[in-house]
Amino acid sequence: MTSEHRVAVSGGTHGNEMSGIYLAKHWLRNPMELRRGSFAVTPFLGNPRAIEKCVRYVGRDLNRTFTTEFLSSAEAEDKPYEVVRAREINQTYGPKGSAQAFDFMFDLHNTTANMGACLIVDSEESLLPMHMCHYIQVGPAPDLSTRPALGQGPLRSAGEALELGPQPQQVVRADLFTQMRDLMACALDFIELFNKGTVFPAFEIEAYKITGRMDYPRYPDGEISAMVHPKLQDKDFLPMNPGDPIFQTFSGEEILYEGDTTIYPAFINEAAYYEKKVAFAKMEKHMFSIPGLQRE
Amino acid sequence: MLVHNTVITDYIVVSILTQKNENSLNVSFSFMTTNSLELVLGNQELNILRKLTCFKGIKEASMALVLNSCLEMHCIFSIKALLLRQTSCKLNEQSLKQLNRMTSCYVVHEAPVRRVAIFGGTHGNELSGVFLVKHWQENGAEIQRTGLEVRPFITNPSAVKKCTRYIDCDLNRVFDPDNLGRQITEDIPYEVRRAQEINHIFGPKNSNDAYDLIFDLHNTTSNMGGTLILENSRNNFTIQMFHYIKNALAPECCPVFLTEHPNLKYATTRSIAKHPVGVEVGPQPQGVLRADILDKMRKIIKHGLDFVHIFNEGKEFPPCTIEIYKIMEKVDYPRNKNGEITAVIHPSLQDQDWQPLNNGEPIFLTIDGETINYEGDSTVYPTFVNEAAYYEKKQAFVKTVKVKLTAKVAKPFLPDPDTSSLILKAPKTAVKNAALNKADSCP
Repeated sequence: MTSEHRVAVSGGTHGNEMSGIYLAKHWLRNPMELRRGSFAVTPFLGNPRAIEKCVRYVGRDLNRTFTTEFLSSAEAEDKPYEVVRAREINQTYGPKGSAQAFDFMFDLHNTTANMGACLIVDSEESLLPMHMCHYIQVGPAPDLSTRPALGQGPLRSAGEALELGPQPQQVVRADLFTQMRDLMACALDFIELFNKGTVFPAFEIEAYKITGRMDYPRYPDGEISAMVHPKLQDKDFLPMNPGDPIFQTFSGEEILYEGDTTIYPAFINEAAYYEKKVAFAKMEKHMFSIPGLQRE
Repeated sequence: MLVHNTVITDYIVVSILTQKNENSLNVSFSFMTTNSLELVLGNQELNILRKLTCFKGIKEASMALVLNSCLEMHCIFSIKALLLRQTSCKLNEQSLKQLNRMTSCYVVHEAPVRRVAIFGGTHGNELSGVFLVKHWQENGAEIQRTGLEVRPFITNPSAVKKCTRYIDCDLNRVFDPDNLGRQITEDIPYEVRRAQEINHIFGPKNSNDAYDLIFDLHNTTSNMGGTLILENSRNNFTIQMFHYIKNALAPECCPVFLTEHPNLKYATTRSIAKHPVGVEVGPQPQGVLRADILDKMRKIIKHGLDFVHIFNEGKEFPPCTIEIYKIMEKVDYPRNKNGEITAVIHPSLQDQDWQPLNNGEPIFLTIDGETINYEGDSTVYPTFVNEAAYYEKKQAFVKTVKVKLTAKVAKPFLPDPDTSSLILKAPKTAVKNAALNKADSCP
């Protein structure tokens, strides 16, 4: 891998996830914090129109619009704003895999779920983000609570998403804001060390792989008929065993998990996922052996 | 015997009760307004009142006294709740002083509370109330009580459908006389039109046809627990109810928030009822339904309805005192010249709703890491700390002070056939139907 010189950070891909928005706005005024010896980071606001209205999106979810279908479809005037915006972002910082694409992109998010600090990477084979996560976990300012999760990310340049929660939409909590800022600082320190030729030895890391999603029980008319069970609420990353209660109806009945094996839930009761028909995401826990890393 | 402070502002009579004892005729009026006033008048006082109202003799079964903001006292005589005749006479300084002297009070008889509504979805993304009301509309057994009509109702269905706080404007701010009386045009905001519809079904506000009691269900992103909201410090019935609910939920805390304030009080959806009750449970993000928060709200409603039922059965609730938090002032975020927020709620204040805040303690944290401290003479109790919906209302938190509120004995007045009526002589223009013999509880 070659040095990482062109790095970007996006706040406000979702216009109501405030930590990233406040940070990006701050960095746009004071870019010094994002500078390191060997590179500088370009901050930008992912979805400015949604940010202005303090909503997740205005037409469609920007974070679901980086697909080939949307990025390469024909020009049309009646496209949702986010399609136009996705193309702009792809143009400026991508396209992925191309020579002019940025080397690395951070995407800052919040969730209403109790996920703590989560780094979302597309695959365990993406060495740089896996090493970055390890560095954050055990490096100079160790934060073992930061967890890597592997799932399909948007089709952008190489990078990762930072997902911090729990935080309500439209709210800025000082503690999460500070934590996100510190995580970014640590991540950039790592990139700096990498660019300088530091040898990062191989290691083992526990990571979670997203394998599926579970919807709420619903009435025939589509309304949800049960809530996340109090015993499951806030238990992201903790084991869910067959027979564990997962939902509770409004009449007080329990609905149990009927899978065969233990899974690890995430995004439990994320506000934005009610409409996406996701009560929680299902993950498997893996131990990965990550080979050493040094820039070429 | 308690003597009331009779600051007279704007009164509308809610109920009138008449009762003849051995030596006196008692007419008691209870007023519902921003400053309520209870008068229990004896014979002597009735005479004074007669002089004030310019009528000779009193024949009618019930009489209402309405004092408007111009301090004109209207006497409304009615038979069987039909409005007969209205007269007015201006109260001068002397009359006011006489009225002041007349205020004495022992037992205040209240009208039984029969018509109750439970509102959910006043803000479409505060989900506990939305789902509770929807569930109760399908299966209302839980909220039924004998002798009581309890109606669950979604107040802002369009906002609920979109899972947003409101469509055009905040429904919970438009129940003032101007908006309620506004002419319906093409471009009237959705919520104003809706407010008028709601006022028509559950009101009209300030009339005797209005519902007796409305529970308005809300969530907040602030760590306020299960908060009960009181609009009027003299609403005896509601204070007694809150005392009952607090005891039922103990040792769990149930803070009571008094929103009575000359400037800060706003015209809520529930204010159309004679007894408005706000139920605010948090913390819960907008658009999220937490089982524990829903359960807390459900328990509050259950105990509230139990209280109403017990009250209507004739139980006398002794005087009680509750500690409440009275609204003092709103505090905005620090902003720059462009109006942008430059600091966030300090970690020390975050989630500390209802905890004492003293002079010199941190309240905000700037992006550069500077702490901004609270500067005030006395300890305050902040609430609505970091409520999502209040960023646009320029409210980082609200300062309150702790106050003790006392409620008098509460007992419903249930018509007793042995009590003879108070007969008021109607003027010549009165309707020909004869006056009632039976004491009536409400005009």
